[in-house]
Amino acid sequence: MSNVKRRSQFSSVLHRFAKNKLAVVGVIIFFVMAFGALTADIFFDYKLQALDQNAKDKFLPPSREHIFGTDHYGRDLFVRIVYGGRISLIVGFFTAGFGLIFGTIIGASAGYFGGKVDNILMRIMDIFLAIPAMLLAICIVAALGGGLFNLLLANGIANVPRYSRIVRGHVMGLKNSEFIEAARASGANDKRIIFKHIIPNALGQLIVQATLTMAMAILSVASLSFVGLGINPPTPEWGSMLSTGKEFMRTHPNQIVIPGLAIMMAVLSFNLIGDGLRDALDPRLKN
Amino acid sequence: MFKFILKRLLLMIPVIIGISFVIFAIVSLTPGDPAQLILGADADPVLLQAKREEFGLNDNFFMRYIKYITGVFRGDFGKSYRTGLPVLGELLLRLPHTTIIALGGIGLSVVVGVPLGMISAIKQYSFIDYFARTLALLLTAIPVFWLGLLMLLFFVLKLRWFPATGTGSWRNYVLPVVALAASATATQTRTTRSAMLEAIRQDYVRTARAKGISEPKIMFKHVLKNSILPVITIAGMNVGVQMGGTVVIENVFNIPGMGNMLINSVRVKDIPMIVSTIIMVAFFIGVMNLIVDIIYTFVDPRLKTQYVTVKKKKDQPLIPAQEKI
Amino acid sequence: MMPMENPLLIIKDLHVSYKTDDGVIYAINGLDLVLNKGETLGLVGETGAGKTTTALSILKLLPERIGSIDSGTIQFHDERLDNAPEAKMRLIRGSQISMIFQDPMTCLNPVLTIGDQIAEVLESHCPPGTKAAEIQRKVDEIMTMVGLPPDRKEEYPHQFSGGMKQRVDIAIALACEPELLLADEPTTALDVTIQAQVLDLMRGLKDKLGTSMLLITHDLGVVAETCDRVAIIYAGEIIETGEVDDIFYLEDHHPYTKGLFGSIPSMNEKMKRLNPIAGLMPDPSIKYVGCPFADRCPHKMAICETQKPQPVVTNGHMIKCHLFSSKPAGDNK
Repeated sequence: MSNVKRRSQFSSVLHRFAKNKLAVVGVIIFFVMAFGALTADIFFDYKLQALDQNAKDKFLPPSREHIFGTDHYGRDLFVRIVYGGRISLIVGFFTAGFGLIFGTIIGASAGYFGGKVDNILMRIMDIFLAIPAMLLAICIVAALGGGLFNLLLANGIANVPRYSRIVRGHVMGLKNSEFIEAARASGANDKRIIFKHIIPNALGQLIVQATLTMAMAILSVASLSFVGLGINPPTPEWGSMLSTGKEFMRTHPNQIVIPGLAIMMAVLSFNLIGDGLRDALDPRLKN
Repeated sequence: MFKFILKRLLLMIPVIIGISFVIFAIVSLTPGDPAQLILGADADPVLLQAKREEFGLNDNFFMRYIKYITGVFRGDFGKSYRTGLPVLGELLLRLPHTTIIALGGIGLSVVVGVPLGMISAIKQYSFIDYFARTLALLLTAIPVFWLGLLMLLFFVLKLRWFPATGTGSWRNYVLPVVALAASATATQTRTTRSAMLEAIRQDYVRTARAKGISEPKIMFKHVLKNSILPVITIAGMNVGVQMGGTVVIENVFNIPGMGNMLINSVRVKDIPMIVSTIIMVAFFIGVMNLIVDIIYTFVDPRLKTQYVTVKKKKDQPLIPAQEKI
Repeated sequence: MMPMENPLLIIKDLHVSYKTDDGVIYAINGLDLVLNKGETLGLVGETGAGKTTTALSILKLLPERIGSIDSGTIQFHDERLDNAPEAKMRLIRGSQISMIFQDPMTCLNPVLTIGDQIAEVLESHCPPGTKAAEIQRKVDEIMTMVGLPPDRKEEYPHQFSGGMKQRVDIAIALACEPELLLADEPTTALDVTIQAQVLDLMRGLKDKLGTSMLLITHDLGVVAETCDRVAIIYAGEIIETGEVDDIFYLEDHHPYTKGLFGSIPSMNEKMKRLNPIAGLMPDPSIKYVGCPFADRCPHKMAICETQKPQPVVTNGHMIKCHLFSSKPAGDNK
């Protein structure tokens, strides 16, 4: 693959992606979220505004000062949502990255070495796949306890099998193709063949999967926190905000509407980007 | 066919052993002592030791696992650390609630998603197509528990159409099922739509048009029959997702199902309960997948002959004579 | 040979385009074609010349939302097809005009039995109230006719070989004894030996049923064996038509036709090397002025770039080239 060709392919993918209005909407939501998460500390004081209780300000309705209102401890909902977005983004990227790295290693080894290695690795992956991701994450949290790091690990592990499947499929498909034979004939070693030739071929599908994983991970962490197995108050995580908010939803519906909308927008954004990328990478699939 | 089913059921045994081992290992080999978690942080060391002895926590890990799994195959899932009651009894008590919600969710998602996806594909680019696609996008993004909460707020607390708690009547299950079905409906709609569109593009549809077949007949006979396979596949895959979703939905609606029990068990590392719940879920999913595979063979003649040829092989020549022109 | 005064299908100045995401593709650009009753007309050209598009336009089966007939007329008997409503087209398709597609592997529905797929076309066009048994009898009859054992009608396409599947396609196409058969490279996907069998079968059935046929191919051997007349298509235009003998034995040809013959090996003459036509067909996304072949033509003149050549007809042999515009086509250059 020459550089020129790859660039033109990249730019045509970008062009198709940019023509997809929904995907652009997804990107915009993502940038707003990312901007908030990255710059929150410049505009807000985490401890003062997102954690400290201030009983006299509790349940203030939305106003110019508190655009989403305040919660039962008088904390500004908007500030907490922005900081919650930071957690969601960390969760999304870490989970996708974890799955991507370990899934690629496992899948590539299984596919490339074949035989016994393949059999053992893929049977283990099958076992993980047979357990619904949510339940597997619950079990891992049960083992390690809650908290952000353990949640990341739980979701990361639960997502490894999908990536290993994709990579293995590509490796198996390409292993005996002519250009791999040619690379081998010209003296490339196994590792080089896998990373220089096979992985780039699987990259498109992996990126799409990664975007969708981010959406799933955000949902999963919010769910776990909601049932009390994830990030606990007072940390401003969207799921746990919903969990506390449900106590007051009858009188103050904004306590659940706002965090729920935040989760939905975040998930929607990654889904839209993922769909857009898939269509842009493979226009045949578009419909 | 009977042989096929039996074979598949037998193949589930190693999977279940594998799953139970993985979960057992994850929960057992990590820090955190169930006896301590149940008795509290400042419990009497003597009592703690007695509890450990009672749970068999002093044995080595492999011994404990083998003892557990052999028990499972004899129908003994052990005793719950938390309640001291036999796990199987507890599970069977809660299974119906979870089954109703999960199967209800699948059923609803198929009943709503498939026709919606069909209309969306047949009338591509129409208003209803855009509506279905937007709906599907939103439903995939909505967190199940949030949808559940909103419905609880609106239909139970404001409108009082449904009872807030309890499990006595069908009315208790309506909202959980609807909330759970939401995301499955979205995937079902999207899959049905794209499978139909894919089938519409195939050469045999052009052939059918060239034959002068009417458009409704083409859609229902040629296209639908070919797109049903991915539709069933997704319905089967949704079972797993639904089982995960029931955990949160049971929590929202306070339904004493397996999900709620799992959450309570997880808090105190109730190992037999956790592992047995997962085994139960895996078995349930396995059976649903088997049903999906059986339905496949009725829908796609190419798959049917695969199973039939196994039987016929003996009395047929290696290369069927008809294959040649 | 067939006289000109008995036309079944007349296409005049047909323009067809495809509107894709990447722009408009002008597939057919002023195509004229006449097919007489009982005649087999070979439509010959390279890939992308618009052969299949022509056939799909006749049946109005162009891809929805993408392909459209922009102008021109298609007349079948005395009826206009180009602006006929869908309901009317549906009645014509499969009964009066039917089509055999290129790839028998993908043209049959994998989840329906062969018998069902043949019966379907009969059901769609038989007078209402026709008994099921009558249709089944006809299915058996047509299967026998194309050389398929009728007891295999309960089987599915994947149980048949490629040649057998093409026979099923032929059975479907001929079930209602159409007046016109559009055969789009019916043998390209088949083995050479089976190609011959299928061609023989089609020729025999065509004679038996008195069907006219538009045979689309890029195989000049098939044309020589099967066709009465030939039309050479290039970039969506017919650039030369004539009796088979005109095309194969006369001296005067469109330079493209000459090139076409130069690019196949001959058994009779000693040839040093094949002469493939250099260059590519013009970009179909641009509407060209002048002769579409100009860029590749060894005899290009100034006029070729600016003006479209008009057809020159000599004894039924038509050539659309400026080389022949000024002088009678019979003359040698």
